[in-house]
Amino acid sequence: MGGGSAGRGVPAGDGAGLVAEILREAASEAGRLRASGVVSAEFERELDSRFESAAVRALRVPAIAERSVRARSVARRVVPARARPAARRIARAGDRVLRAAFARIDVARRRP
Amino acid sequence: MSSPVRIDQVIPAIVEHDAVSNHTFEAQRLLRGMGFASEIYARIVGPGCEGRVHPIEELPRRAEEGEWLLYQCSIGSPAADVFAARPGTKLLDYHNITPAHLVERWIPPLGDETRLGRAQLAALAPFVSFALADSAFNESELTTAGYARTRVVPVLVEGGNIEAVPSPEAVSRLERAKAEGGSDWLFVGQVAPHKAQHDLVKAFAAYRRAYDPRARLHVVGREMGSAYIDALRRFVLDVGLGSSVEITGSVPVGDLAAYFATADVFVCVSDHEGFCAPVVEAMHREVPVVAYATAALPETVGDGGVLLPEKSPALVAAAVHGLLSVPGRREALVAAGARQAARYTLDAARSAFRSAIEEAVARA
Repeated sequence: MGGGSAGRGVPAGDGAGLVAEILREAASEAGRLRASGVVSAEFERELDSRFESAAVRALRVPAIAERSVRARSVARRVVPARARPAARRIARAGDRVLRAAFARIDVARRRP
Repeated sequence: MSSPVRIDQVIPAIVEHDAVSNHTFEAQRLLRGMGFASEIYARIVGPGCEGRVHPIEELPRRAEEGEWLLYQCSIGSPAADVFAARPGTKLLDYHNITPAHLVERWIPPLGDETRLGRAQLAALAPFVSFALADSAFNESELTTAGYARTRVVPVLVEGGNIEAVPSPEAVSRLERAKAEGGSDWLFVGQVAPHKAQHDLVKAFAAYRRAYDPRARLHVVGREMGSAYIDALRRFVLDVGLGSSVEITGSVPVGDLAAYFATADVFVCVSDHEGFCAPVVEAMHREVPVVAYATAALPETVGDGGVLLPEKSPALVAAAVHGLLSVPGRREALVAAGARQAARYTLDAARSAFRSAIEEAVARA
């Protein structure tokens, strides 16, 4: 941990005074971090965007699982028993194509 | 209304390592200590709670003279309908209900449950003779919902958690990491969207970048659903913090005590807290608190921690740095936290609970 402390005191036994002092300094220090580009607005936006991207990917997993359960239940009703092995092969191939497409989209999104 | 001979409790779900569940067990001990018979009825009984709690189906549908019910309200549930339908005097203990918009993206059914919970809270108001709230913030929501007689009773935090001795193995592992340098940030609470651990990771990323590249963040608590924790883990890896952010899940109380024993700072940037028992535990355990001032947090933290008006990564990072980098400040804030935490001792909460029940009985 770095940072100097010249001129800054610790009010003895006064939580409110100490907190006010830390808050005052933090507001000015946050301004300095932004102005110097150490923690720029762009850095903060990049963090937001990366979490949003992680959220979309995480939320896709249950959505895909739910759709897959629904699709299987429909398929069981409409695909005759003798055609099911072929239908499974086609579904697996489609799944591979879609996964590859989503992976490409993710890579493209993250490219600067 | 007649004086009670028994006050049973109804709760939607009861599980281990949960603040409302612990509160309910402690309330049962206190009610029994006050001379009332008291059983707990839950719609969902989690592992480890069987034998101590009855399934709600066993709650007698008819009430004899002097049989009261106390409903522990924190989510929408059919348990509220069972509570409403039972004749007799009713009390309600409100622990707040997370606003639906903070959770529904991640767990759509939970969004529905929280909306139902707020509707049930308002619908129960005319039938409840006296209501308890674990913060003035929650009490104000009760008043808005139409509750006429209310009283603040802090969460009855079980002594077991506060008094638990740090596990030597966990302390040793955490201290080995500390010896390499860098400060330890801690947050304890459910890994859930309204606790905003993703904003905590953002602030931590800013802190490492600006001040302390060897800092570590420990996110302790069980997850609510799988999508949010999955997103959080992906996010941590994506921003290159995989080795410095530990997401532990639920841990034994000795390990939890070890995290508190080795933390430099407890940082909370939740979007919603009805009370936030871990903040009080941090102050009890001499860990200084930096928190985003929202919902009940200004009241729980008081002058015992740093309350931030907003939670941009730069501001949170600068506040933690300002606290940890100036000699004497951490110790001074620990002392302020201890003074604030003294308001929330289990004895004080027990006394407030007994007094609230006595008031409810006197008004009966």
